Amino acid sequence: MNETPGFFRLDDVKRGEALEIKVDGKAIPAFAGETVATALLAAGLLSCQSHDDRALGVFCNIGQCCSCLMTIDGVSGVRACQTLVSPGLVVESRRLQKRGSRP
Amino acid sequence: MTHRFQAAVVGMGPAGMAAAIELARAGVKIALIDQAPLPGGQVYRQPPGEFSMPPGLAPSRHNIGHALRRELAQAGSSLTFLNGAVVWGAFSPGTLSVHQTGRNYEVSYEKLVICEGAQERIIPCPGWTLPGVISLGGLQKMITTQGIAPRGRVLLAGSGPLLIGTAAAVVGAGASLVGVYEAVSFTSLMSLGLGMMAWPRLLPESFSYMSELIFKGVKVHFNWGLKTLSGDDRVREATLVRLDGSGAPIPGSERIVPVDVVGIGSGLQPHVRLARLIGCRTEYDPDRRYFAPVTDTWGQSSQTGVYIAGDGGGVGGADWSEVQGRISGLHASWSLNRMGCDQLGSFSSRWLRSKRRLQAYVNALHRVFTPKDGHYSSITPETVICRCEAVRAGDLMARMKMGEQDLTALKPSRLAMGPCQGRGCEGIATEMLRLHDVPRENLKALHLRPPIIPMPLSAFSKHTERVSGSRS
Ligand SMILES: Cc1cc2nc3c(=O)[nH]c(=O)nc-3n(C[C@H](O)[C@@H](O)[C@H](O)COP(=O)(O)OP(=O)(O)OC[C@H]3O[C@@H](n4cnc5c(N)ncnc54)[C@H](O)[C@@H]3O)c2cc1C
Ligand code: FES
Repeated sequence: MNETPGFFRLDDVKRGEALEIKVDGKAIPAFAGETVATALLAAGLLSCQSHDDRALGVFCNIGQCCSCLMTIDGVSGVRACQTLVSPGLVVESRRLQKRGSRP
Repeated sequence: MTHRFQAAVVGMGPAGMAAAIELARAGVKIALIDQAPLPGGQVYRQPPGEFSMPPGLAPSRHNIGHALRRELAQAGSSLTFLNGAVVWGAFSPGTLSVHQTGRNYEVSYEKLVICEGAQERIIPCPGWTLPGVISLGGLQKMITTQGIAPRGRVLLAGSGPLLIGTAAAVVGAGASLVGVYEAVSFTSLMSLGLGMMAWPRLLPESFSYMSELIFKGVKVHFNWGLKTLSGDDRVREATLVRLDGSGAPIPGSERIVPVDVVGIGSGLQPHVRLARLIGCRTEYDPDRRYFAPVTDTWGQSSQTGVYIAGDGGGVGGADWSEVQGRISGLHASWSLNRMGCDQLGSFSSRWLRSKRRLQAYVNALHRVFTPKDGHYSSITPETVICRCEAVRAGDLMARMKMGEQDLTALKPSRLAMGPCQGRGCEGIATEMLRLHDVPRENLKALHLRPPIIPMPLSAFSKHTERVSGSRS
């Protein structure tokens, strides 16, 4: 088990089927029922968006703050904390956003 | 395509569920709409169907949520359940624009009950936007509904019931806390205990949180607040400071703590989005430091036929929200001629009584936890105010010095111009204006435009489909 600080999956939780999603070209494990944000955090990927030179992480986790907007299966501006994983889902997280560009 | 209903209820938290139960029992044809896949809202949010959580992780109020869901399932066949459905616009009176798993349609209503819930109030400090810093409620929901927990040095700071609730969830998940820092004093927290006497159902829950913390040896530091957070690609260090009676930091009392994950939040404020889009009047409440819609006893807003219930109308918690939902649901049924005056009177009297009793507790909650002027001292010129557009406090302060006196005048800084349309920054900028002594009547919420929830572009195509409503 990876011991780096961040987030980890609790042992005694029964999850859905194991699957994989692709994040910025890399396969990361996930389980049915998880959100994309959960899978990213559990994989140690804390920052999900870059804005000019600043990284932003998942913040409200309930779909309000828009800090987790990503391109998911080719659709830009999707909230990772409100999107459930599915096998083979393609996520582009570190999209550089320019100040003033609404996704 | 438009789907016609007599009433629409937006939000499946305690308020929305309660309103829908009363409407469906009265035989009103209603749509109950929420972006979430399952009913529950924030407080009764359920883990996904694929999950099963160990008993230790279930929040203490879960049985109440289950009971409400059961009642909803049995309320009647006139209820259509639109889950995973985002209400993103309202282009003509009496209609809502809904986007549900790639489909776009309109829902028409005669009566609308908006139950859009609360959002967390954040008081920023330098570094609060660093990855690894997360809102208290968001952190708690990760643990209790997604089964992931923070690892490493976890620090929680802010104020309010969610601070203690989240601390209990963190230690309940077996993670360790390096500190819990509450901005208010221990004495004022105790006065809340007295307020709870008016609604004793809350006592066991509070005791169970407190005893979990005491049992696990977690010390809560009162009269402490965050001064700064720092790090590189993620948060690494927190500087905390002791606060005086006015909430202002005491110079020289700073304490530096190495951290890996930080939870922050200073209470809740109404999440007034759809209500504002539809044109319901809001007012700034100086005692509670937030914008809230103007409503009457029944939850009727300034727009005819539109009710606002639950924390979205004024924060009061789960029971308060349920009671408000019942009252608005009954009144809406009456106004649709589904019950007579005497029935409305007899069905609602119980809930109106509960509401009066809860009011004492809700007032105490605000008295204790509404931030004081001093709490905003953590905002320095370099502090980011708008996460989406990276607008810093210094920019806003300069504009205020130049004479700008309201939120609209601050927009050229790009404040509230990002995808969240000011959800995060509007409240903070309002407090900055207030502390800059602008006249009270200038504290006005911004005008919102659709989409009120960020939508993938595909939602705006003309493509529509048949609605597949299923019963809950
Ligand atoms: C992050 C967070 C965590 C919380 N945790 C707790 C807790 O553990 N215990 C507790 O007692 N209180 C908690 N609260 C307080 C909470 O506000 C409760 O008092 C209660 O859930 C409020 O009930 P409600 O029905 O008013 O709204 P909510 O329960 O918040 O429900 C509102 C619902 O409306 C939906 N919604 C909003 N806008 C739209 C839209 N445009 N389209 C579609 N759906 C929409 C949301 O998805 C949500 O499900 C929490 C609040 C927050 C913000
Ligand atoms: S983390 Fe706030 S919208 Fe996803």
